[in-house]
Amino acid sequence: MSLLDSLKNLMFYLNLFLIFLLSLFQGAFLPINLVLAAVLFRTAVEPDPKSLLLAFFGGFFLDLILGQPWGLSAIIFLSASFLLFFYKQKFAASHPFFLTVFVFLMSLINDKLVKGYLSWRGSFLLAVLTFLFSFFWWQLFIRPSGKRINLKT
Amino acid sequence: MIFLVLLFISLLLFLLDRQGWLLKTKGFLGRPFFWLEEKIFTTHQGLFSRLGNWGLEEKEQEIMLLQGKLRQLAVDQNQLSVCLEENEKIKKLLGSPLPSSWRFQEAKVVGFAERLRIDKGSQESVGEGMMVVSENILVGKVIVVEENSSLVQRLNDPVSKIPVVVKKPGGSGFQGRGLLSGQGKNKLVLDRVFQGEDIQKGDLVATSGDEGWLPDLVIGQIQEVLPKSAEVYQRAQVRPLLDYDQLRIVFVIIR
Repeated sequence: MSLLDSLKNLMFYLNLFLIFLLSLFQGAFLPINLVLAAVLFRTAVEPDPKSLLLAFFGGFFLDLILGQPWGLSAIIFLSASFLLFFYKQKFAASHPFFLTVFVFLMSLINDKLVKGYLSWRGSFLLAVLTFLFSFFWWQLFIRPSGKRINLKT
Repeated sequence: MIFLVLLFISLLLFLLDRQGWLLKTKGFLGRPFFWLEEKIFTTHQGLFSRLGNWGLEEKEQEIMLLQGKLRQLAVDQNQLSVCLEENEKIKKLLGSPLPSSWRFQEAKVVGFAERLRIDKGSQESVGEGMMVVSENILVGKVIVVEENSSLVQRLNDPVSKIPVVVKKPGGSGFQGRGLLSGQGKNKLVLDRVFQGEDIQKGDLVATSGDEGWLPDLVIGQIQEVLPKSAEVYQRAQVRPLLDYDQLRIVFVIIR
């Protein structure tokens, strides 16, 4: 196994640990679905099969810690990640605007399916946080040159 | 391919959970996580209470103490009026038994996401639909029960709707009946009160005993009666007597 592969594996486990921590915080006091945002961000930035694994485990941890039916969040997160994965050829899924809108809509759908109502404020706050984080990520890592940003790749 | 495999596993877990076959596994696996969750929750509450009290004047602390005493007075007033009513009924119907089957199971709040998580479950005879109170004020209803923990739907949850009565503090009988809905973040709205019923600011709102809710559990006080319109019903903003964010110990009413 090359050094690059080892680093990639290490990053995967670090991401998994981060998602686990976010699930704990969400169970204890956080009112917004940061696990969903983290999973979708990872899928958008690195659309590989490991992101689907992260989506599954993220959903599983969340269900376990929040006392929700097992598998429910995993199904939602997997479906959302798969959509991003599927459309990576057509859109720059990691673009801040696209990702923000996607996270906002997925958060609303998740709330409706899991809690039974739409949480507009929570979803909006999550979208704002996603935009800020992905904007800085885009500026630092994805858009090194001064070229104009296109939504379509 | 991996997507289909993971989706299949998720669906299988979901179906097994719905059938109730994973209850023991959930209880076993969940125990270490609940312990961690409780530690994080306790640290978060301690940190925020220290930050909140930092720079707090003595008078502001005194105000908080007085608010606690006011809550207790509201509960005492309601209990007094309930006792007076019960006394009258006993005089008329000699030997009529009072409900005495209520038992209280103390529980610690260990998680505070959309719903409260408490550290008591089916092992301690907690069941779905049981009421949860704090300082004899209604907090919510148990909606999910696991072996060692349960989830409580709070009254300010947007899906919560409770049939209630409106009472004058210290009075007997009730002024009106309505439906109390949650609006999130310590906001409650009283709706479906007929226009002819006399409800005013300061009136107490308590459970009516309909639809499976135990009767005469205080919830809050009317903060503002919303302006009358041409509709059949009137509405009011209700201030909960409890700050749900500060709950640490609650009691489940075991029936």
